[in-house]
Amino acid sequence: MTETVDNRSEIVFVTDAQDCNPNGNPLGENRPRKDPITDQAVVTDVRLKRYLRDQLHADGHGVFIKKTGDESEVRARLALDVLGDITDADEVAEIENVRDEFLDAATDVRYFGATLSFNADTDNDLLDAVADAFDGGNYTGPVQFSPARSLNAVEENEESNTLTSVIATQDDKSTGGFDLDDNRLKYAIFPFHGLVDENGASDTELTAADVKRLDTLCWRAMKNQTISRSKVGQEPRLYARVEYATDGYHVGDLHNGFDRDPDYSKPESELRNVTDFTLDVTKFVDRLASASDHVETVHVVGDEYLDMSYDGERYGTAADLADLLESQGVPTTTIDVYAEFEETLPAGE
Amino acid sequence: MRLLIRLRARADAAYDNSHFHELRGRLWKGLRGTEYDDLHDADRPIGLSFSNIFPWGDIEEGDERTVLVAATDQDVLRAIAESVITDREFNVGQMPFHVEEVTTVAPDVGEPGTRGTLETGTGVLVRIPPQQADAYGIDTDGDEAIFWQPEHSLEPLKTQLENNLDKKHRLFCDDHLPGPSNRDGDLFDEYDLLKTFAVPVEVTQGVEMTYILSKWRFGYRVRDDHHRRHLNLALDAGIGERNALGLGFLNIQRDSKRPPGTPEASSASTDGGRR
Repeated sequence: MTETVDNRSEIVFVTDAQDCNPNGNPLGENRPRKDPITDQAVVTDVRLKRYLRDQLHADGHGVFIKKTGDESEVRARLALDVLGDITDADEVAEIENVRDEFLDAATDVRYFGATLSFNADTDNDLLDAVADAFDGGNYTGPVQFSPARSLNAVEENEESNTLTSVIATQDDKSTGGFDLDDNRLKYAIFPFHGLVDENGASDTELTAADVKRLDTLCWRAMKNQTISRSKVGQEPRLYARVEYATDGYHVGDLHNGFDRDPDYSKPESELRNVTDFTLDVTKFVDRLASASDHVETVHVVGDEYLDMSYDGERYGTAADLADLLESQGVPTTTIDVYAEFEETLPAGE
Repeated sequence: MRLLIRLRARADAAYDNSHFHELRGRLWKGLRGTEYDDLHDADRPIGLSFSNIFPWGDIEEGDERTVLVAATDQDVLRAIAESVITDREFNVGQMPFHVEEVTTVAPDVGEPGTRGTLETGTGVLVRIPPQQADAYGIDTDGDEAIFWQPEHSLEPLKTQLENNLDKKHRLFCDDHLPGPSNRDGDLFDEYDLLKTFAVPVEVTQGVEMTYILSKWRFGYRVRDDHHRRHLNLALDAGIGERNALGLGFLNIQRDSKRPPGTPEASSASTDGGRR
């Protein structure tokens, strides 16, 4: 196993959603999650991690949490799936260190951890052997994302007669499989916050290569895993991973350094797409500038259509964030997503 | 995005090769009385295309057939879906079907670096404006548009396809995003002509015209996010002219997609929707 990552990183990842439902609430008729007081939309960390896991899976990495079901037997089966071509209980017993093998194969567990609460008796010798081999326990994920609250108060499209209700009134054969979502936001922009805790990395054997993979994975996941059905309309707009040089140090809550710039943005009720919005990055840049002695480098990629402002003035687009940070004395590295990501694929490791 | 409509034949029937006017009529039934009713007579691309009923061949009662309907606007698809779910009788000329299942699919040409092949499920209509005939060295003796044929060379076809997709891009994509002609490079890397053929098309009720159409395989390599959007737009809206009549419907050839870093795919087969 490669050595685990040494440096702490803090991630901000700005995405937006246009005319779509970025995160429906199944307990609320799948309507977009929203703070009823502030009208800010919310996307959970679970939703973001689902995209990342799906992209890992699409890239050919082993992924433990493939579905949201949490039955113990299912988990044992998923673990077995990750471990590879094993057909009987004896082969499970022959694995020297099942936890190492598992972590080596289950890329998502190295990032986000997992609960290994298997049912002890599944009436299936093979699954029971897997459960026994792990002997329970949890992996605490060293990569933690927080739910994102939109930088703007959102409005929903006005639709009432949903296709779901039409299907529900049919009395003959079911026509499942639809995902044409009626509950859509007109426009919302979300700043996610994440932390890569080097101290927790040893628990799941998270490597520096794993962390570097996040620099292209987040962007590609938001491009590739949202292209179908109700999730279409979401885009990555800005990704910055602040890699710190000082042990145990991070600025914290960097996502709070982003605001809607009211001087250069349309009013919230008129926001319809990214060109209506200007991201004020003043606090973000200034906080990093004041902590630049602790920063190894900021890995940055930005979108050419999200306008930025700094210190009350327009400053290009999110694609120019690296230049802005450099001008304030913060070391940066620009990410070229499509030139770099192939190195992070399984065959390239 | 597209609807995949699974049909069950309610009676034996001969396969009607010129059924797309009736198929169009059945699909438009779903838009009648909705806010999309006006699209029927719109003199512009409407962001809707559809396959024929496939697989091709004479039909026995109980046979399963499929039709795909693609659109740039999911609300249009929703209206059509509501119609075919509410009224499951799906009669296309002399071919009576029952709607068994309706699902959505969202084909994607893939992220930058992906290679693949698009194939035309239905014939493509490309007409060269008469005023441009000279520029392409095409003899013309009138004011009528010229149906593209192989002897005209690929150049006018490429130009007309791109201009047509430009128009759709202006209509259906955000204004700030560049259309195909605003970017370097052709839409496709390879233009593999399969055949050209003439077919009578009922363009409006009682008005029939003979169109010269062509069928293609288009090889592509996605250059960037813009190129990806352009190709996916062609999948949703169709390619060439008169997509709302059922022309220029595109599919991704099955097993043809090769993500970056993967070796050449083995022989590919179609995923249906061919006319």
